[in-house]
Amino acid sequence: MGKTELAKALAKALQRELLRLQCYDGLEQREALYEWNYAAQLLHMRAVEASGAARDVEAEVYQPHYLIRRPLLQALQAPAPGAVLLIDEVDRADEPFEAFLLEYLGEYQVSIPELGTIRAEVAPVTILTSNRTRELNDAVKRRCLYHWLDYPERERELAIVRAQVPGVGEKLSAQVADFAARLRDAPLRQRLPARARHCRERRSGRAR
Amino acid sequence: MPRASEWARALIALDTIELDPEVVSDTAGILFKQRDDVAALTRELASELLKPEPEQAGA
Repeated sequence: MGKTELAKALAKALQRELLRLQCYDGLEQREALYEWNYAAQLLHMRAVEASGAARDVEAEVYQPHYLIRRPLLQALQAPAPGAVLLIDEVDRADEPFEAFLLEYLGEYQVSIPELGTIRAEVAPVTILTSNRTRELNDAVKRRCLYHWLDYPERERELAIVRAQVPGVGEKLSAQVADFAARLRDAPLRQRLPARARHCRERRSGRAR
Repeated sequence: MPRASEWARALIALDTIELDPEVVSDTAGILFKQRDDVAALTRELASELLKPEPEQAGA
């Protein structure tokens, strides 16, 4: 329903890069934040072993270039002016992930055991979206500004269809808008019609 | 539910001049993500939904 477009538009307006994390059931920290490139590290270790040299292999393999950065970490390290971070469909992730997210959103820093603490240069502008299939943690909700996206009224929807689909024709576009409006009231509909978009914005530039 | 404009584009691609129950139920997959909803939008229901609104009494 246009939530990605909104994030893109915001990124463009702020001249920040857009980073996106798509949430799903089973999403884990390592998919969202970072993981080590084990395969490459292993190859490195084998190569050192084969060469027979006495080196501090551990220090060599836990270097930043073996780190696979995922959106949440990328958002922290985005160079000025920073990033717009879209965390999409937060309700699909589970509660442990939400707890982790809460910490991330509260601090905008992460601790990587082998590399130390990484703080955001510029705090990302973070947008959370939810389809409201479940209620989010209160602590998460408290930190957010809300923006509800309702479906447009029939007239507006008609205008949108005609603007976006030039070849559509008067009659068909009117029928489409009518039908769409009726469908929302029809017994088919099993979920709430409106999507909630939680907008979170940091006022100050620095994240500590 | 996706935007009506996505649906309109698909309808045009199918050379639709106006809605009928068949094309509505055929394109149900564009309107809904859930399989149950797609199955529920039968031609009968589409027919029902396409009927013009009844006149308001005493208007």
